[in-house]
Amino acid sequence: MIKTNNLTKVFRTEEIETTALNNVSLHIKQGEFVAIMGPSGCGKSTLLNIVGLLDNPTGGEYYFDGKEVGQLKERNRTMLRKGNIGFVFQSFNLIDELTVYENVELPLIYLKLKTRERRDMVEKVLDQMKINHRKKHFPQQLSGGQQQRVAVARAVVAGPKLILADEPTGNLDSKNGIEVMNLLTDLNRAGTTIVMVTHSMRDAGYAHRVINLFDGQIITESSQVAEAFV
Amino acid sequence: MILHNLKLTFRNLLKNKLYTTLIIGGFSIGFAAFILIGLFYFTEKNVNSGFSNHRQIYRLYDVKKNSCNINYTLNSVLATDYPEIKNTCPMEYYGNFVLTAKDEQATTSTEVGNIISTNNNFFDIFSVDIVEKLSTMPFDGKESLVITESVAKRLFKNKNAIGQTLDIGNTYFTKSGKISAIIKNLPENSSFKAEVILNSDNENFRMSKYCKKDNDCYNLTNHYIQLNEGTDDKNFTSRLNSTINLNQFEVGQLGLQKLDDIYLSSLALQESHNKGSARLLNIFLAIAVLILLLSSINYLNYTVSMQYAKLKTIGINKTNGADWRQLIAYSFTEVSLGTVISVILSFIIAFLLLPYSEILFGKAIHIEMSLISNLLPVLGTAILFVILLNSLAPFYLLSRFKVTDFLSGIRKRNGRQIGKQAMLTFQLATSIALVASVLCVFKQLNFVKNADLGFDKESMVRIDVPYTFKKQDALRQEINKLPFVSKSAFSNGCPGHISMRMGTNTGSNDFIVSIITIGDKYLETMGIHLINGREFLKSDVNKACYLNEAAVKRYGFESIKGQRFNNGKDGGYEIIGVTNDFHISSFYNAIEPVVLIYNPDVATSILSVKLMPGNIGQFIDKIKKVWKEFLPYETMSFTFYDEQFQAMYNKDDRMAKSITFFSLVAIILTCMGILAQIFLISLYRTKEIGIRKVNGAKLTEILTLLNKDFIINVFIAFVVATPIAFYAMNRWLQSFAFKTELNWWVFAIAGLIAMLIVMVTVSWQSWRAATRNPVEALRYE
Amino acid sequence: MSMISLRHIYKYYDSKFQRTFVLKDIDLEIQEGEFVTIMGPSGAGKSTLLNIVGMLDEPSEGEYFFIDQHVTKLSEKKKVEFHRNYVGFIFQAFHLIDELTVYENIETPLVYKGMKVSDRKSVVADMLDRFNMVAKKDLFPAQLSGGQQQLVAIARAIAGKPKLLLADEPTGNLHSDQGKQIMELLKNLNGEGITIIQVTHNEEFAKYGSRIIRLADGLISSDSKTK
Repeated sequence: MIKTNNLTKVFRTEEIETTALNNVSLHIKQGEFVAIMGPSGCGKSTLLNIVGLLDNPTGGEYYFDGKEVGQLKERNRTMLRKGNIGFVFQSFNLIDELTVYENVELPLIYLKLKTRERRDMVEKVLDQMKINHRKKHFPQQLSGGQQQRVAVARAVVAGPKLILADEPTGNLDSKNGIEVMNLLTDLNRAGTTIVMVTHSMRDAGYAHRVINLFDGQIITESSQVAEAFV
Repeated sequence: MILHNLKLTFRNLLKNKLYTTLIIGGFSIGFAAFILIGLFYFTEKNVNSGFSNHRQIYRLYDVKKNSCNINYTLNSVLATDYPEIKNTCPMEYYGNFVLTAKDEQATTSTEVGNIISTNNNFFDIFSVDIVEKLSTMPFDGKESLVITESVAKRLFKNKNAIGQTLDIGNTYFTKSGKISAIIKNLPENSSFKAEVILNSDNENFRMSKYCKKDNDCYNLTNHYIQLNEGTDDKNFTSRLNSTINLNQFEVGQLGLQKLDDIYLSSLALQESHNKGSARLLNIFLAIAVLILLLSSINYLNYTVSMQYAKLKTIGINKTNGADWRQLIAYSFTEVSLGTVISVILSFIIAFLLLPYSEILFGKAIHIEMSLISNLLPVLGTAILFVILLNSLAPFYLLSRFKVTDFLSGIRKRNGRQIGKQAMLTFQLATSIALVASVLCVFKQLNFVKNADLGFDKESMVRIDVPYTFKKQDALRQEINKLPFVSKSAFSNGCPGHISMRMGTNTGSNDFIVSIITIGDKYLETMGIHLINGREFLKSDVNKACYLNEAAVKRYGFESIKGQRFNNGKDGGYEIIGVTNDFHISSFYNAIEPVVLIYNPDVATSILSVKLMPGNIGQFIDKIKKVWKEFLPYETMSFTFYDEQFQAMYNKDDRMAKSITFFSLVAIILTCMGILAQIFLISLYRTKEIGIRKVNGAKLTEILTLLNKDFIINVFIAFVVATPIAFYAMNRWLQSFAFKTELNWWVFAIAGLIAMLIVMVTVSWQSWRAATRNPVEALRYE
Repeated sequence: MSMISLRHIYKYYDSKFQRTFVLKDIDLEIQEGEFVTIMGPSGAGKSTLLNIVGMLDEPSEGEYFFIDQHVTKLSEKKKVEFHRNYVGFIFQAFHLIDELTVYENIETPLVYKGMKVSDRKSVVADMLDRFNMVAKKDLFPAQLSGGQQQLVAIARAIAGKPKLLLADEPTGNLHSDQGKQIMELLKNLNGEGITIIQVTHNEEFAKYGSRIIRLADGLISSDSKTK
């Protein structure tokens, strides 16, 4: 599903040129649960952003579902993202001025679905995430764990085939963190491909495969059987 | 502490360069406009204040006859019988003649447009600065006249002017006098001018005469009096009326008009002073206040928004031990600095624009002490108002939030939003109202300039012929021979210049008609149609006349058969025809009743010539050649009828231009306000925009989202502004007898323009925020 | 006599239909010189408790004594005095002022205290020296790494020689190495006599303190010495 060839990303400011990714080539199959690990600043998030069509690489190719999409313009990337990719961020990134319900509904609005259709899908996913009782509340009124559940709900409401998670448990305590990882595992078992960036060994344990990045390059890849963390 | 505050303020200002430029620049522009209008306002209010005694000087007028022209002999009574009167003088204006002064020695001549006739008291009353004089008084003997320095320079260069003889004349007469004094020019900002002053003790130097019966004549003049300080003018007026023999002087009732009031007075007197328009002045005042409000609103928005952006900083400072006073001191410093910079900039802008004040206001503004001392308090108050208003914002904010709110970044949007929305709507409403007004004014001007005048004004020339000239017929024939001349005719008086009016002597229905004495082929030349009646015959000379439709209506005739125009002279004239209505004056006035008297022998002063289409400039040159053959020493004075009528609206043209200019300022201010707001909104909605994009929103959907809020404001503004503009425009149009329609689409266009401006402004600024990579937006967080 | 004494502290928010409790009947004594860690799941009330101790917030019910002074409902003026002389804060997001240099940031509390320029100079110089930041004194926060920013924040917090240091997730935005560095520093400061109360999720960093108080649903669920 995801294939990159010598992917490179260079950031230029006025004074400095930083190479965030240096010839990264990887291959992720549909249905996999992959964790990308590495110390801070090694390029994990950058890689995730490019895979998620949130950014263009400076060099190399990126094939999503067989099509080369690395150099697409923002307009086209948006079209591709819609309904296919869901995002979960470390800092939740909910819209403060919208209720839980409205936040989860967001991707469906941009998919131009009718009100009734949207309602059914939102309600279903809110139940799944066990957050239905708070659907009229605003993000500020929820705890961190609850906010992340809403974010996950939003990511999955349109039934995307790929979910990208950037440090999903970073702002959560252990109990909530485990809960979110379990959610992701369930989604993966149901068929969703998951690519997750983390620097928690515990979180990485939930994945099928771990890719280690250091200074913008892949240094090792290891596969492991998903174990429940004790 | 202060240093710390200033350092921080500067860095903050530099940090958001675009935003700071917008707001400070915007405020400067607005305040500069305010200053300019203020200067104009006080210049107008201060007319005549250049005369040091101005507060005690009054002009007499006849309340019943609405005229300042009163029997000359009243002067001696005023001078002797009233101790309340410190001084008095007569004043007659030769202003409407163009007189030429000649110096016989070297025969230099110059045209002087402002000549008055008065006595020696004038120089004391009006505190005239006498540069040089022959003897103790400026006028030394009956032959005396006085000239200003600039006239002396024009005539005599550096030679001595005192004692020289001067001829004052035009085509009709010449008078002579001896220069007995030279004075400094009278104050520029006055309602009257005087470059040559004649001694009115000399009966020869008095022009206006009124004759009741053939030998019962007397001179007319204006009378000025200077009352002693502390005299109550109302009491004095009643005393004057009760003690003077009003009948002797043929005065209905006397009234006193303050010199200070003459320029802006709404009294419609027969007089010769320059008049300003109090109504126009008030319009400008309203615009000034509006612009100041618009600028202040922008600045206030800026301050409040900046405060919100610094909420976190406030919280941090509080946790680090800042007390309430120290925080306010910082905010005050910031506001004051910004305001001071803006004000300095605005003074510079106003100074740069000052030379253009003639174009803007129709009057050049000269900076004088009195102007500055009037304006400075107003400016100071305005600046203080702005600083105080903007300093209150931090008070308000600090009281509403806890420290922990600041630090956790909660932004309570609701309360502030309403205030902001209201202000933005106000700005939009003002802009819409102004645009609609400008459109209406131009519509009306277009209407009056292009409307049918009832006669043929296309390529129609009016040539003024001196009436000392006796070869009218020959001249006309030669001109008619020219191939491009279609037709021509003579008249005394014409549309645009009526020199004679008479009463109809119809008893209770007595009314005034305008007289045009016409020669042969007049109607044909002017394109005026005879609706009713017959053409003039030779036997009708000086015995018959036409009426226009308005005159017929006014008379109330069913039919003109057998009717006569009785002007009191030898049985009057037989009315033998009716012409269509035509305009003889501007569209301010309704069509007036006109009588066209057929008398080719006497109709000799105005030649109207209809030209064929073509190179008008060349045609005029060829006519001038013909003219030169008959009048070699006289320059041909001519004008085009259509230009002449258009010139009647010069004041309106100027007003239209001024209002357009200031409307543009208002619109620019509103745009800047919108820009600044949207800049901020896109800044703090960056995260939201990024999230929506990540979740599938297209560019157009984001732009729609951002535009939506503003469009609602435009609608509300439109609803508020339209009735106000409609009412104001209606009022203005009332002053016209002929007006264009106030169509709904004028207001619709104004609303659409506002909508377009808003959408372009919002979209342009939010384009960047909307097209960024979502990654950048989220990384921001 | 305890430095900090909280008795029957409640904190709740009232909306149209309900009263939401954040803290319920908290009784807590903290002695001078302790290094206390407050832990608990999200929404348990940790930050609220810290804010109340730091007088950034007031309890809905209950009493707070600070060095035997009743400070539950203090006037603004007295609060300012408290912040200037007794307490320093450090936050997860550092909360440095972006428009000020490192030097000026550290100087901030001293300016508000009304200290003379010459006195300020020597105090700030001391801090810069101690934290090895002399070379960076004219840089702006944007030019520093997360760890360095937090160091500046700590320098600022202790410049006024406060008796109490309150830290709200001080390592939350830092890598583990930087986090360790900060925790070591805090331990040292505590060794020098500053009382420290920190809020954190991180079990490992909690162990730097001498006492762990766990909150759950607004109540103290456990209060024990670190093993």
